[in-house]
Amino acid sequence: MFFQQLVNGLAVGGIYALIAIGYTMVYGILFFVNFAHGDIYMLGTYCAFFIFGFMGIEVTGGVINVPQFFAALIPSMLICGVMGIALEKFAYRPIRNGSRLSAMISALGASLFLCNTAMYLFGSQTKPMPKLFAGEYITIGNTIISYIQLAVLVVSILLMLALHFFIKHTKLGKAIRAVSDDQRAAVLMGIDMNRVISATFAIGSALAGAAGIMVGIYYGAVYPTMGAVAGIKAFTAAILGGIGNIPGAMLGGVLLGIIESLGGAYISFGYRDAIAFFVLIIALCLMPTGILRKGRT
Amino acid sequence: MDGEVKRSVRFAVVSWPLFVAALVVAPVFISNDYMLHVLVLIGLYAILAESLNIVVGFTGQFSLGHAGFWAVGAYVSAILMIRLGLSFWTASVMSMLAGYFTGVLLGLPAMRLKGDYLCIVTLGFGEIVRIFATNLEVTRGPMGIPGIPTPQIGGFSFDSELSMYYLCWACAVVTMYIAARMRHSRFGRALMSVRDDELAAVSLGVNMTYYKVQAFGIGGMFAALAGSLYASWTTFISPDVFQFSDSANIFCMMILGGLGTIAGPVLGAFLLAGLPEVLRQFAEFRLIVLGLLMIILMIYRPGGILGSYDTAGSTRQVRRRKIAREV
Repeated sequence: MFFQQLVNGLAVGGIYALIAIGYTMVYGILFFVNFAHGDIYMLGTYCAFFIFGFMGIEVTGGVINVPQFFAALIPSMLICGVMGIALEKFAYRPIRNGSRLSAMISALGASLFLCNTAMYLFGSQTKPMPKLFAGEYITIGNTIISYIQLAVLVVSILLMLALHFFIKHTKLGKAIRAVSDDQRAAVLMGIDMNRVISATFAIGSALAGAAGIMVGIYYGAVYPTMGAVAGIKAFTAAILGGIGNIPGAMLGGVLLGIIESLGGAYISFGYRDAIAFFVLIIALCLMPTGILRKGRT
Repeated sequence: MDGEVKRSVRFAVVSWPLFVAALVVAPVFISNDYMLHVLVLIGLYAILAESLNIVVGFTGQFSLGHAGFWAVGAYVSAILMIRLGLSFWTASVMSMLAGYFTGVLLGLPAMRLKGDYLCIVTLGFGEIVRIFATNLEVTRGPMGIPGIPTPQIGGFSFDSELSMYYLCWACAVVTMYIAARMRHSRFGRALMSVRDDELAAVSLGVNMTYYKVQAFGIGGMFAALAGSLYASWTTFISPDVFQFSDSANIFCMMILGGLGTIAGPVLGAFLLAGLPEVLRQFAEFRLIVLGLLMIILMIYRPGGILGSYDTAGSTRQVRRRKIAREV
């Protein structure tokens, strides 16, 4: 039972972590919460939905294989990345020097816009998504690990490793770190702020898109308002780990997923989401800067 | 009194009676029940936005869980009326007390947190309230509570849209008036000093903890009043009514109208609660347009429509923060 919930929590946590990275990266550079991030994630799922349709895969009860999965994953991530850049350009760039409050409102506006545009274009009803592997699983002791959970974990870990490599070992990654450390000094050293910010949005949104596809396949459903709850959870994860801190977001996501699964199993399934928030509030009161704090807040 | 205060007093002497008179005579020109229905809704949102304004606009404490207080008020009032057979008036006073204490409770973690952390805690609070309403037995879970009695006084029952219109707007005007008086009181100035510069306020002997907690308490109390009115007006409540999107909506009303002003949140309520109803024939597009409008407004008028005088404090703060960052 415990290990079963741990596995479930890890799979969901990996997805939370991917979304949380986007929140945390934007916060690390622009110091505001990109509320439209959850909607980018939702659009990622829809991208995959239409790509599967385009490839002629039956969405209801259909099964996809690994190459088909990647064939949908990569273009969806690209499209989401582009949408992230566009979002920043239209909704956030004009008010970059304004107060944080206006950025927040603009983000809420962008979220409303994206969610309702999706509702208008795609319809508000829940649509089915095809499955990756036909429900096969492996058993270790009493613990059932489905292939899809394994796939979600593996893909999340691969993406996070890729991000880690990018941030630590490329020039653009270095620039992103420099800007989030000290904006003024970074600009004085000749770093192009706009480019760094666009890159941040592109990466965060692409990861959110990837998370969207995996959630769509994991739960077999896609609907326009799916971004709201996932966004709140991922934001919670980002704060739990220490906002502005990328490893923190990963840790926070995984922790939140596990806490939720265990709380849902041992305390009460109905209160699962409430448990996550209670833990968050207590954690914040005891450690106001999150688990892995960034140098300054 | 300096010139600014004098001018604002002169403005208030004219604007308050005009506003109240307009509200009183409005139903003469609006006979159709649907429009009255929309106006009641706007009145309720005006109370909600105005009470959030005390927390965010006056005290500078971010709160994205205001629908939580709304829900607390609605559920407490509905349960007391149905289970214990209390009258609306007793139940709504009790629900306001419940709102106050919930606010104080939420204010406690808020003492230690600010900015985005506070956002997420209040947001979590709103979700927690909704989850409890969905799972508790006394709230009947997702099925909601039907058949909530309407307010009655003597033999008169507030069961028509017209009577609820007067009741809701009377409460809204009282809320606005209290907020307006509060702003110029010692209490309100203490709240604003906490908003503008915490360190300076504390150095001058303002008990920051007390004022932050009180701001949440009072904000919660009025939101609970709106909830209590809402429950008796629609006679049915369910957890679906009090979503995060409502908290965000109330927050936007306050910002769009003008943060920290008295008329701003009410104007915001008219725009965000009224326009979508008026534009119902464009139902599919209205929220899309609303989202765009919010972005555009923030680009061209970040202080909100009425916000100029009052947001001076916060822009000054931004400037100071910017200078601090540069040093």
